[in-house]
Amino acid sequence: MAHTPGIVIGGTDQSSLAAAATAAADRLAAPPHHSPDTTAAVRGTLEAALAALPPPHRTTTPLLVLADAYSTWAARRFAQRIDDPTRRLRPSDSIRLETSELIRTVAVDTGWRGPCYQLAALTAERALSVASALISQHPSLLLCEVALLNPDDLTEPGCLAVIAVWPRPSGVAWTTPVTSHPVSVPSQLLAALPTRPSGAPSSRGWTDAA
Amino acid sequence: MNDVVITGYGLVTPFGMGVDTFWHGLLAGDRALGPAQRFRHAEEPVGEIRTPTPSDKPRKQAFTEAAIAEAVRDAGLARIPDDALVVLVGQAPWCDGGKESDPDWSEFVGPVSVADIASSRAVYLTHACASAAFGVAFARSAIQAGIVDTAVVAGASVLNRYEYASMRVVKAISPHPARPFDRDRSGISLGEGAGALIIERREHAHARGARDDLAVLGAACQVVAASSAASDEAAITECLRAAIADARVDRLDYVHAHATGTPQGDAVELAALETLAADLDLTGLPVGSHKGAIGHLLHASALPAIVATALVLRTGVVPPTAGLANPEPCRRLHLGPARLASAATTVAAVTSFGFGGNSCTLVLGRVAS
Repeated sequence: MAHTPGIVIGGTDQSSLAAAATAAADRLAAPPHHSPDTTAAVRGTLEAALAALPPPHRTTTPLLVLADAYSTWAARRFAQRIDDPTRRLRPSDSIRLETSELIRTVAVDTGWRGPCYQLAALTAERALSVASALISQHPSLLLCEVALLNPDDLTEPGCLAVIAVWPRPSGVAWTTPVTSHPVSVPSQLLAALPTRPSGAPSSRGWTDAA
Repeated sequence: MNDVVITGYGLVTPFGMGVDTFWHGLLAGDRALGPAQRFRHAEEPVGEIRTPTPSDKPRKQAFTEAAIAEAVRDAGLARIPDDALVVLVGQAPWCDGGKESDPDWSEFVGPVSVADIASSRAVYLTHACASAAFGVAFARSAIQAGIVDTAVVAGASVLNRYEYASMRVVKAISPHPARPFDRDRSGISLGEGAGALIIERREHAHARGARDDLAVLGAACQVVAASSAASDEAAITECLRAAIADARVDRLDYVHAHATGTPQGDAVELAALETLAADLDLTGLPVGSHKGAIGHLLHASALPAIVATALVLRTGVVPPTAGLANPEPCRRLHLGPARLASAATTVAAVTSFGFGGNSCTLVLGRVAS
């Protein structure tokens, strides 16, 4: 197995997507996925990542989600709602506390039933170290980072979703749109991913290097 | 596959400090649910911890640390090994959120200081009320993948206005103490508590002389449901079957059910367990729950469930389900107290579910020495 993963990206902001596509370059495994809201963007990106896997792995692949930003945002959003004197708390406010609402329907729509772990307090480098070890036990793996663009917007934060895909799928032809205002890529995972094939990862340990 | 074992556990529950206190309360059929004395946002019965805690830290953090300390002692360790993976479970990692002056906020997110609990090898994991079970599955995967030899899975739940409101608004809270599997059940009672497990590679435990009789044989942790609520019979059945397949077992001697006491949730879980019992051609399969005794510990709720299951496997005694007076009719399940048939190997399942489609089943096995 090639240990350098492919990359699937999606998000709510065209400029961020274009910048991420440029950074991902020939590692892109699917065209960037644009959606108007965070939940749809994450779901669409995850569906594209599953579709990029070999068919036998699409229903069983493990998924790691780096959930720091979204889980914190969801808790802050709930706190705002509970203290909002202008509206009553609703059941949907309670449901939206859960990070898994980002991905729950993907399994229903695609048949994916792999193990899922929504993690936080884990740097992108360490997440890659964990992923590298786990792929010694699994034929495929997805590592998803949900980076929020406006975390203080407690209505719709916007996002850039970056998913590393093992095994690396074939690349796609993709022309990066020209943007008049270059933007930085708000993804620690994309920055931490290797840009060229590396040797077999250490099967043991918890390191800061992928 | 039985290469990952549980070598220690610790609990803080509304019965008091420690695993022994919890187990004796379960065996006696006691209930620690009653009117709130400290927590001022509950009109319904709750399971409060009356044990004093240090005033300089949030109770959630103090309880987590106490549970870990007991688990470490139980595992025969002097402290958490420096190279251990520590998996903390909860709603979200600590952030001030502009709420630092609100003490309830520190019981909602966090714990505040991971550094007080673990070295830098700590991760946080969030899967609603199934978080601790997902945490055990993740720890098992990390050990099997060779990332670590030892993992700690820990979490706590403390009554706070945020989580209480989140349960109240979905009309989950019962005006009476929870009665899992009872025909007259009317919802959940929230409780406080903490738990911790020490999980190790079997060879590692054996080499240092620790108990290695209790294995994590299998796990299934899935995020799938047609609706956000935690009651999808098809998803639960699929999760149960996946865990049994992962464990490569064809028997079950006990199930410690999620069983919160909601009318719909318990009915769906019983239906799924009936299907599984039929799959395995079992009759009289003992099924229990602790939530009528200490309440629902939300993200940490699987920790007392796993400890109870470990003690059922080690003693052969299935405690009564507290609050259960008028059991739902069952075809292949047994909802009362029981004794496990004597066998060289006994196998049990622990189920844990949560909003957002979070479903986890763990399969534990014990080989009698």
